[in-house]
Amino acid sequence: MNHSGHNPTAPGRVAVLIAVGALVVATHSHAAQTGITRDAIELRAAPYSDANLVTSLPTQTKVEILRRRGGWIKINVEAYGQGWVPLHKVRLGDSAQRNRSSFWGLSMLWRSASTGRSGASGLVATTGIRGMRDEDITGAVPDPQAVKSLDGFQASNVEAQAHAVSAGLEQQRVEYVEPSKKKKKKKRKKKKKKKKKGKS
Amino acid sequence: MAAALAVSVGWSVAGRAQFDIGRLIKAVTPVSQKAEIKMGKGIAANLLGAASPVADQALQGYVNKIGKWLALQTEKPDLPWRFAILDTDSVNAFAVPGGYVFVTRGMLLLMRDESELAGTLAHEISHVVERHALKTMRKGNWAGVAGDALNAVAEGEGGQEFDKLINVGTEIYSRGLDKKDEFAADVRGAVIAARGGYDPYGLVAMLQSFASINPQDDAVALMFKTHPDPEERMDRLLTYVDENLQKYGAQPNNAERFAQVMRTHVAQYKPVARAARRTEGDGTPDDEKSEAIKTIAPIFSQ
Ligand SMILES: [Zn+2]
Repeated sequence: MNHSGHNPTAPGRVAVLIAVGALVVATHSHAAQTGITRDAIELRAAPYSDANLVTSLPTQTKVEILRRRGGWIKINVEAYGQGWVPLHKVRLGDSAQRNRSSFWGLSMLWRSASTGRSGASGLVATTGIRGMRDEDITGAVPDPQAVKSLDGFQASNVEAQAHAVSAGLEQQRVEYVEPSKKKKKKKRKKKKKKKKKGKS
Repeated sequence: MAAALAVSVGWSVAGRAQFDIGRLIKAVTPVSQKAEIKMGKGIAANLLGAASPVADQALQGYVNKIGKWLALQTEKPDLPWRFAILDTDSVNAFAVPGGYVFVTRGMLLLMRDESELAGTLAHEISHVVERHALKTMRKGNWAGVAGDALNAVAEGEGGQEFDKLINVGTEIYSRGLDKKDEFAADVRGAVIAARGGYDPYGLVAMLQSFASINPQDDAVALMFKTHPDPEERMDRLLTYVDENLQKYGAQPNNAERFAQVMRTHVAQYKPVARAARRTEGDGTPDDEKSEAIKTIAPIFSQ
């Protein structure tokens, strides 16, 4: 499977065009974000649960994350090829165990992807980090001057709107639904899911 | 415990009787918006004393435009909204009463597209709109302080009582908000992002990053201490978004615009060692500090 981003077919080209800008660089330098499957999951041909099945991936499969679309991520898996899986089924980093990646490791991986340079060495937990620990906050000397300086960064309604429109953002009317009111529906959905599983 | 806290900070406005019915009723008096903004300014000064805003007009402008756009989708578009990226590697974000929202550079570095930033800002915006911090302060740090008294002190001329109020209020940023409010802010944040035209799964993706980080890592220590388990947050939010907002998942995540800003304004930015401004001071003149903050060096050797 071609994972260098040079797929000559039209869909491949579209994928590259709308891929995360940084990842276009990343696929060239082979420094894309890596992850590992949390469970055994099905790799699909498109970001939908009823899309064609590419293959079934065992738990703890190492994957390369190419891009995200809504709740799905497109991944590349050695020996299996490319496909889509639900976002939350993949843990970032390359450790099978939960929560084992360091912040620095993840951000460096990403940074090297976004700059096209390799810099993901020394993936260890950061200690003695500078900044905002409890004691930094409770012991800080107030800086009202810095608060004032924020006025210089503020955006007007018009600027904010123009910035949104220029990126193709369209305002939507979306109601906030109290999560508790959804319980009944959730139960029904779960039952449905079980049924579906039973069939397959 | 609330009463003990109030006593331990030596609150003087509160009076003596802890269970005076009259005062409980008074305590329901809402904090006025004027007082909220003024107290927020004081708390923001404390937080910015721990980490300065990154001295980058373009980066801050970018974040303010996105933040303001999202704030316009809420019930409180007219608060004096101010957004800032703070110059620290710690991974965290803060919502301060009155409309101050801070995201650390460390957190920005974990984000992969603009919808993750939008989801994060929207989560914090919802804390402000719902007044979660004020609620926590009044249940804990400010327990027993009547709303009238809070308003009077906050709207007054400042002084010692005001400073005490602010310092005690700032403590919630090292203790955290009500866990229920964190889950609520995740859901409302996703809704606000969807209203603004963003892919609401951005916040889920952000939580995926948190859930992948070793909690022993210094960079996330405070955030993990003050927030519910990131994997639980991710799973809960995903359930809500799948059920209610799935169709907005096709909305833009503006990955390219975000990557462009990161490439030009963040990836090359090397944090300059700078001790937090502590009470005892670190001996560095302030001018020198602000000069040092402006220094930008490439993070990778070519
Ligand atoms: Zn929060």
